[in-house]
Amino acid sequence: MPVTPLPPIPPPPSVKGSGGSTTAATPPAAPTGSSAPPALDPRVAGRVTPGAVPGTDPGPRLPAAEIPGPPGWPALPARDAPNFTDAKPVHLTPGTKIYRVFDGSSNPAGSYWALALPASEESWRSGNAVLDSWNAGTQYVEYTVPPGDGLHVWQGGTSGQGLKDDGDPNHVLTGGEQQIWMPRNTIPKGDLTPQPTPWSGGGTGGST
Amino acid sequence: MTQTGLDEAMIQELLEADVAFIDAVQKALGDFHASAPAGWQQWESWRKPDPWKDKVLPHLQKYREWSEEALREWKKGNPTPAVEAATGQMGLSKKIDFDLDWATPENRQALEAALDRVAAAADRIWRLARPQP
Repeated sequence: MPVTPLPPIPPPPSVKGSGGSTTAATPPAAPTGSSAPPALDPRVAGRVTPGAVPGTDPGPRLPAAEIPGPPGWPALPARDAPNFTDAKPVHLTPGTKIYRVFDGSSNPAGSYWALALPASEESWRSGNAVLDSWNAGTQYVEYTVPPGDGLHVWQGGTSGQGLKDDGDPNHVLTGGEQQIWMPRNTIPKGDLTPQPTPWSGGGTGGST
Repeated sequence: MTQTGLDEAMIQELLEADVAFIDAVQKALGDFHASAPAGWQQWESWRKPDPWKDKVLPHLQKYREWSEEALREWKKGNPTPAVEAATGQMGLSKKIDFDLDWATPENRQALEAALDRVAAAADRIWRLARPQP
């Protein structure tokens, strides 16, 4: 996904009052940039997030509007749609393996999954647009869709993410990998066994 | 970049959404600890409300500060912090992929609604700052 820095922002437009007159004109001296650099998150200070590239625009994404699914599919909620560049309802057939990278604080049976286990932290963070300050990425679970009806999920490209959260507003994670969404706790937690990710040490999993 | 339609009310809404989310998290945590089930400290860490206290809440408090700054700067004629604040808050539903079974159904519903509100407010501002296909 190309990363296009945002062009300069013009001053805010005039505000029309109830009578139609201009009540708030452009201020006399409108600054054009942020007033101060953000403080670095102590946890991520001293390193650029693996997989990040320079930029301020995380790129295109779907509108924040619920996408109804066909019969048998959950709707893709409005708040989750923008996390995709595109999304389509997909039937995961029995035997399909899916993966979720998380850390000890996250729900192993959360909503976001991948079709393959990334080989490195860099490729995971970049392709799946996962911020350091939210997810340490120390564990993963693998789930094999069991015999039966399969799983009705949403699949599509991962939207990019800005890194202001990590104190680095001038880099982005571009996303682009295919991701899967399903309602939280669709998969029974008892069926999931966390393992260390390959990059966190001790893990043996690889990409599929 | 076009900023057509971006106005103070949208930034105010983002700020109010942040505050409402913080309030909802604090209420849910307070209710949980007021009648916490016996032995909850032995739960696996992801089952506990701790990630909401230790990870979600600090991020939301940071978001509130961004939105407060964005509002102040907007009033000075600088819209850039509003766009940065919105961009930084996007993807929140994916970031907050934490368990909620510890919360009461009422609080779960309130947290989901608060998350929806922040996501919508951030998305709205960001789209106005970016050429759309």
